[in-house]
Amino acid sequence: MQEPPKAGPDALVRSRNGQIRGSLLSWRTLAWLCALTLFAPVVCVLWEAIFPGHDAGAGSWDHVRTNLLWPAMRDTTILVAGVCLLSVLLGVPAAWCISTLQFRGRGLLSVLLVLPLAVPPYVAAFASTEAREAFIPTLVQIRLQMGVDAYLKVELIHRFAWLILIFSAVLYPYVFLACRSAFSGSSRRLAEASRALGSGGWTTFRKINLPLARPALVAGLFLVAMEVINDYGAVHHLGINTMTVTIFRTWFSLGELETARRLAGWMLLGIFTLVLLEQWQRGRRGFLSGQEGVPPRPKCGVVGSILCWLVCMLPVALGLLIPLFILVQWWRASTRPDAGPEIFAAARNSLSLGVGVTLACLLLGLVIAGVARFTKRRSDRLMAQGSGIAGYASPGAVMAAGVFAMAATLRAWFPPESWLGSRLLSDSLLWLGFGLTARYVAISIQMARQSQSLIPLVNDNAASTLGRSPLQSFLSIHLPLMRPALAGAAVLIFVDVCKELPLCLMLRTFDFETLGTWTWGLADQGQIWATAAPSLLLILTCLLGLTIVEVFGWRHQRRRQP
Amino acid sequence: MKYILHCLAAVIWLSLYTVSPGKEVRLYTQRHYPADKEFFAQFTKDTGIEVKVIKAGANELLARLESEKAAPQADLFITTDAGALDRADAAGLLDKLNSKTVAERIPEGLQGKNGTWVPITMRARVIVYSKERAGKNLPKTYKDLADSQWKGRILIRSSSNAYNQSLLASILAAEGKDAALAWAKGVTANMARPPQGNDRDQVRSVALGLGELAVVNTYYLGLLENADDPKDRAARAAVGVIFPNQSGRGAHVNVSGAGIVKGAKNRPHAVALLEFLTSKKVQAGYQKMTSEFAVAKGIKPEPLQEKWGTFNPDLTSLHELAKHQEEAVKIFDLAGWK
Repeated sequence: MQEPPKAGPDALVRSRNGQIRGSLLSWRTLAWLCALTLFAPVVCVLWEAIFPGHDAGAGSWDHVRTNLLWPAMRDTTILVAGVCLLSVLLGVPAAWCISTLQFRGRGLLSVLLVLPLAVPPYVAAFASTEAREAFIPTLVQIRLQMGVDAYLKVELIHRFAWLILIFSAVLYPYVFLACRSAFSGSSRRLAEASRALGSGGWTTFRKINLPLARPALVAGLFLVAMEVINDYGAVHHLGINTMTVTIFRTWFSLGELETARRLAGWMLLGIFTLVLLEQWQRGRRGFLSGQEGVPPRPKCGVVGSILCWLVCMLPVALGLLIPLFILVQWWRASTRPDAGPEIFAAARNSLSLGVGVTLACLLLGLVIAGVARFTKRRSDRLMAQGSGIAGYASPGAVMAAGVFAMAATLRAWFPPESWLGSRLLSDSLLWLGFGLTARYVAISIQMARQSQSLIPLVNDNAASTLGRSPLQSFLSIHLPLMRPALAGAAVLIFVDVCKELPLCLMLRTFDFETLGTWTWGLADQGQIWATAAPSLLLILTCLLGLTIVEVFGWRHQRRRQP
Repeated sequence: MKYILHCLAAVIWLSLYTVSPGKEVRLYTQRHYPADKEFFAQFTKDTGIEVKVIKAGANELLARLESEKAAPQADLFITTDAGALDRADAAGLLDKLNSKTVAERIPEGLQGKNGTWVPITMRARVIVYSKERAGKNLPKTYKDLADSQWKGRILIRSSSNAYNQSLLASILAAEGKDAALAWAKGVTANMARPPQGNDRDQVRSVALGLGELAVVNTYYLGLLENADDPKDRAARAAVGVIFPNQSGRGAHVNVSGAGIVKGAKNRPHAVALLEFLTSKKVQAGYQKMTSEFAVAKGIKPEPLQEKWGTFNPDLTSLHELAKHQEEAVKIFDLAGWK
């Protein structure tokens, strides 16, 4: 039984907090166990980078460092920089139009602008084949008239340009989403004040909107950069050797898993530096929120509306409508009707994998975020922050290398005859599911924590004073309030899992094809046309999820802001 | 709470979801052709043995076999590269086949030296040229591709691909490291563009005018000739075929082959599948459907293959590929061949 309080309300809360910490011991242990397990593959990779095996692959490491590392880093950097720049150009003006102006069709466009996220970069790359081939006559002319060297230069620029366009067209929604929320709310209030004081539209945008949106913009660009670094399908298809392609090559062509892991480890360290820089630039500034007293959006005239439509429709056309149009054309022209059952089997696999991993991520995210909230310990908060980000920052190929290393270690501990041993072998979806969960759990942890931070602490204290255990107050207060954020996290995880390629390619089991691996397999055989059916199914599955959440979010916002 | 329990049950169910055992044979295969699927289905129909498949690159599968050495998951390892089979053999991953039926069907020079693998089909790596623009002075050997007269005129795929690795490994085996490096550098300098796409793309690009020569596997020519896409058929018609090294060691050939995994749980089924795949009917079927060459004795080439002409294959270096493959990849890196 509880002791009666001896002093004022502060002491009451303090003593109650002490009890809560005690009662949370088992949950805390669980959360730490989950976090450490999820972190294990990354540790395996980092370990290899920092403490490489004595004899293993020393020669090949030197070979990779002198011959492959520098060009790979250069190409990755060019690509990331180009994609970030173009994503800003596509995403920021659209976000500004949607957030600050009122025009007919604004709601529809706001939803449409998010949807290119449903198109995996490798599918967009396959869909661009014919458009790229249309440039070949021009290249041939350059070759004939200006010589081979000029042609080789133009060809290289041409390929980079296509890749940057393809990536930006399907990844700009990260920038758009981040800026859409940053441009609304108090940003709009300040912009209104600036205009009232006589500044022009451009000055206001440059001096008020943009600086206020910078943290969100950088966060969005960070996600874009991570997607580019992680990609294998599109860059490999267009013949550009980024870091991820180099890891694949070291592992599978040189046959040096240790060197590949070491390379992956160094790449991870680089990415972690970026993460820290991003966190540092964000500082304590959060996303601007608060819809109170926001002035109504100024209505656009006919010309303004047309301009807004142009600005918003360009990215949608590039990232969604054109790829969809091409794929539908191919699908109608394709003469291979016999693959139907297999595509549906792949769709079923994608779906069950997506749902399973999403559920696992949500559960783990809730446990980890919940514990971090209720114990109020710095170490737990750090655990919640670190466990997810490490996985999310690891490209699929790196995660696969880590999972393989972890599997090998565990197999050495448990003999194959044991029950546990037979379950831990690679002939199980367990590893694929685990790899995907470890990679995407960050989304649910972060979104759960973000929405939890909006619930005042006083609610917890009130519930606890009324005798509710942390679990009870979590289930009855937090969970209902977190539902919209969790739905958003669920869709993002689901879409990411469906699109994921490298992890699925490396860790899949017997007769297990996802829509992604099936599409990739067909493209690898040069049957580009045949990729239309699985690609369309993949895009439609993701589109459905994204549309539901966007429309739901839009209605929710309109209810709050009549 | 109820939701959480439901979710937990779902996750546990998913994580324990393993393939139920039955009468089956499990393959790790690099081959990705519709013909294989058809033959496997026929095999299941004939014998009741189910064929389960994981498709991936040869080295990816080797890495997997290696990590499962203590408890093998696969019964049969199929690749499109004799080098990968010999590497698996050298790593102790393959078992002796001991099947008289198979041994009698296949010429000895094509079988694995230690009796651990047998070929299923064969393909040659040939040079194709633009009939319209390549001129009269065509290359006769692989070495000729490094000649400066072809600067900016050769199309060839990435060095990550096993077909190019085994070609360079055969040059390493026959001519040594210096000659191999000089050749790789020469060809890289002559490329019409940095490597991209597969062999089919190289032929199409020659037809479009991006280059005059391409290095491709023979069966791709068959695929193009039988393609649905009229552009593919036109591309095939625009190029001629050269079997290199005909007055020397012969054209570079490689095989698709299979070896039984050491400790395979379904060994008898794996042997049965190999006997099925090397049977006359299936071998002739492969020639018809994939345009690869049959390896079993006494099978006539398809008319489409006869049009390419007869050729003398380099069977000596076929068994040297594994020894030189890693060196070949490093030489490609040194030469800047992406």
